[in-house]
Amino acid sequence: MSRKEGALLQFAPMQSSVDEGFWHRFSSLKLNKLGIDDSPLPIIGFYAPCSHSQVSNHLTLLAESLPSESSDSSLVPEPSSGNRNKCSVPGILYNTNTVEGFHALDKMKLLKEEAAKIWNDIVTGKAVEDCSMLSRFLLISFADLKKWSFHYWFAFPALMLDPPAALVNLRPASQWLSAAEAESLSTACNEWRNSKSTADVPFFLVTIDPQSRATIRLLKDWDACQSDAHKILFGFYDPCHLPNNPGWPLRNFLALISAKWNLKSVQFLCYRENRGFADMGLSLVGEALITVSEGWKDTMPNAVGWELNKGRKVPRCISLAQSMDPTRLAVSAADLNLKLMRWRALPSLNLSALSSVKCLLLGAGTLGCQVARMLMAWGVRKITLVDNGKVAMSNPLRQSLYTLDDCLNGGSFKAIAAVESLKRIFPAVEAEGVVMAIPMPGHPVNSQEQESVLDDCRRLSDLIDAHDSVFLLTDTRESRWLPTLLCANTNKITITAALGFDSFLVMRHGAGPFSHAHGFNAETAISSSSDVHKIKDAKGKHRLGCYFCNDVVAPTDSTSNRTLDQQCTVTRPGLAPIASALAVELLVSILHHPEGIFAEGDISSNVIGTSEQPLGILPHQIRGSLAQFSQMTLVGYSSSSCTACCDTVLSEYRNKGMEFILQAINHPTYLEDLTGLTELMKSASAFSLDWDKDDDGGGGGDEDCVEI
Amino acid sequence: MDQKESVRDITPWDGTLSSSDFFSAACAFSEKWKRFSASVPPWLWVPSRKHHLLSSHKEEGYLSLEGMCLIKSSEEQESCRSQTWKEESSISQEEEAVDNATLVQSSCDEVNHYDFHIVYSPSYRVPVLYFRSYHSDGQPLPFGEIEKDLPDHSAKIRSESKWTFITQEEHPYLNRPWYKLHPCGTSEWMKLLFLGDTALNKNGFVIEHYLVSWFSVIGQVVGLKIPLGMLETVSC
Repeated sequence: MSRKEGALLQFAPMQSSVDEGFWHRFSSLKLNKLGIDDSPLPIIGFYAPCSHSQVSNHLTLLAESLPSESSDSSLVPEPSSGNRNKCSVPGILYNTNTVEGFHALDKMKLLKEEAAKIWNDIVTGKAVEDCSMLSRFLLISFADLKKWSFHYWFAFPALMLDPPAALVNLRPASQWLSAAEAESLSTACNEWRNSKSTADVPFFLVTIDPQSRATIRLLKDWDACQSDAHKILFGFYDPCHLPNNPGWPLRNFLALISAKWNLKSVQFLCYRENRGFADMGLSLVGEALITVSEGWKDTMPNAVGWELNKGRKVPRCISLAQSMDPTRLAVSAADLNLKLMRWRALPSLNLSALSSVKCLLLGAGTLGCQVARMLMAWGVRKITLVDNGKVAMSNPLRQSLYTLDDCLNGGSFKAIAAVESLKRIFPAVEAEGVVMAIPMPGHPVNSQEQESVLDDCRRLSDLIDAHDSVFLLTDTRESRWLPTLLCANTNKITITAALGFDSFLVMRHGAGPFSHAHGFNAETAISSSSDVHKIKDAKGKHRLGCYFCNDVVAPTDSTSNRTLDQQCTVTRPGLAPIASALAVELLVSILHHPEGIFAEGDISSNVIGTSEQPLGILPHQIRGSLAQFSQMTLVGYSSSSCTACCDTVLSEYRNKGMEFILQAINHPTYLEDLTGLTELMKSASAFSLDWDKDDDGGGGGDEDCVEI
Repeated sequence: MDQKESVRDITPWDGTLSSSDFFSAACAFSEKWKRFSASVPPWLWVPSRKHHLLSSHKEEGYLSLEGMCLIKSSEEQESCRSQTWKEESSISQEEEAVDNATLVQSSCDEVNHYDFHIVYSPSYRVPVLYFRSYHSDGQPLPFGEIEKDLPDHSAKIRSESKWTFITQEEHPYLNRPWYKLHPCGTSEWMKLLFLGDTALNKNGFVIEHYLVSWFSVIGQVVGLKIPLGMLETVSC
């Protein structure tokens, strides 16, 4: 299709494309080499002739557009040459250090400066020697290296002809050339494009002799083309694909042709390819009419060229946080790991349950640190640690979240240091530390401390309410009492881990006696008057026991008369990691069991594959011994005299609230009296029975071991 | 040093290949591709610029197919990419000269560009397909967008087969996250492919055909068709 004479020659704007690699390298350069230096940086852009009938080629920036990072190299990018798909053109980058600076750049001035360089190259003849100068470009940017987003704006300076050139005609090359000429030109072009010395020369001269032979020459051979009665075409690599418009590089080419060679009528060839070969159907031949005044070339012409962004003269912005932000990369790597586990080994893995469960860890010591780490490994993100202690010098060895730095200056608070450590390991964790002591029965408080102790009780109650799963990881038995009671009251998943010198207990508490947090169950109201205290849970099944169900004594002060080496912090180092790991695996199993905390306790058997659940059995208690390198699973049921979870105690708590708690804290025998344990003890000692410790396997009393 | 064996019929084959075998297979693959496909860009070998102290292979690198364009019609364009810029940084009409010579284009179609790399994995000893997608201005596409471009049967293959799934991992040479088809099952199904194809079986396995067979399966997941005629060459 040809155009009417006299119509304005309209050029398709050059379009930019910035490969991610450019921004990666630029960020690196900025961080390691440039710093706050914002002097202009020479860069190299690449383009090639259009190779697709429907998609234009772009001026592309790649990683190699920038200078290399090595300290001994200068800040000039290495030029590539001879690559047919990457014609190098010079550019300049102005990167500002602030977004305000970016907006405040004088864009017209910068455009004029670059255009002046092009004009200068034309006038001095340098552009004839190295024609890629005609496509010089400008880039302004602001790299936000905190958010990994890049604001940028390209300008492709084009010298304006005044008045603008007119289009005489424009049609596909195959229609303008004869068949013989087209074939010869195709061959010549393909040779040109395949030769390393000319493949990336984007402007050239075409002469066609009367015998239809086409020859391609460099611009500097202009004089040699004059003598013959040949057709002359001014050829250029055209990135544009449009059938009715030439690409942007022609603008400066026409300016050069007019200024240097004074031509008024210019036949041009928009060279385009298809699948790597010259395509005379896509390529266009046109005739332009230049009508500038005599004095036009005496002064620098005006220039235009700022790239539009969806039709508007505003900058562009690209966000690469997804591929550059280390935190995001860590998160996606962690997610990948878990997904692989699910895809390859465990299709029923419930990753969303793991990522949404809110875990409360009471104790940030040997057990707490390990449990927290294991939870993160399973994809648990919401972790709260409660501990009122400070990191002591001996701690970092066994408590895996702390280092020596945490011990200095009196020691940081464990809860705080633990959270910081977790975030260093995995920034996306949602971890919180609470510095708080857990009120304990048998540790009486005077009236001045009373209010603050009650505050702590309420705070603990709120914390438990706000989480789904509670780990009891403290180092005394009595500190586990109040949390056990509160968890039984609200039916939270409760997991206890306790250590002896070379033995451990990991267990999950059974459900509480009531089906919901508040109010009475009609059944309990009736049965509470009967002798048989309620031992069934809301689902009518025999409740599994809690940590205290096996105790025949109430939790009393176990710490004040112990010698140092009886405290359970002095245990075989291997014990805590084993127990912590089992505690976390137990939680994961509960989360995957359809009945959750109401699930019955399984016992491991020698027959493999007897469990219906994909993760295996869900035990109630695991007791292990390092002395034997052995481990056994046990089931224990709730005791109707349990000082922590029997319905008598819970009813009292529901009735009297904090008053009840205070009583338990201050009066050593209150709980025993309440649950009838005192009576039980009296009646027991009335008989002269030898209390042989049977190995009944039913979670039998370990009264002789203070810790467990 | 691996010897170049062209026939493996001695020991039962485990579906994997060595690094130098990969290079031979890659050369054969890209050459066949060029021969049989005029309409699709060629696969080019990109030599690696990594420095391997231990490796004595000169032929370290990967196969690259870049610049596949998927043209999206205007209706499919997502407007979520549009930035609302306040007029802080614009050029007023008075500043820039009045220019009628610039073609003003109405909204044009968005194009999704795809790059594919076939990279050898030394730990799995199989080839791995890496790919990425980006808009014309360079902005990378998130996986949700890429999924819309994948053919319908791709989702089916990926959900049914436990061997075929797409993950995002760091490209071993470019050190940036690319998407890839995870290689953990590749040796398994290559073994099955070999066992199931009596033609291959008869002549013993020829390394040059490895990538063609591999690609006939992998290509389906990302919608890359193997050119007609290439598969026949494997049998003769």
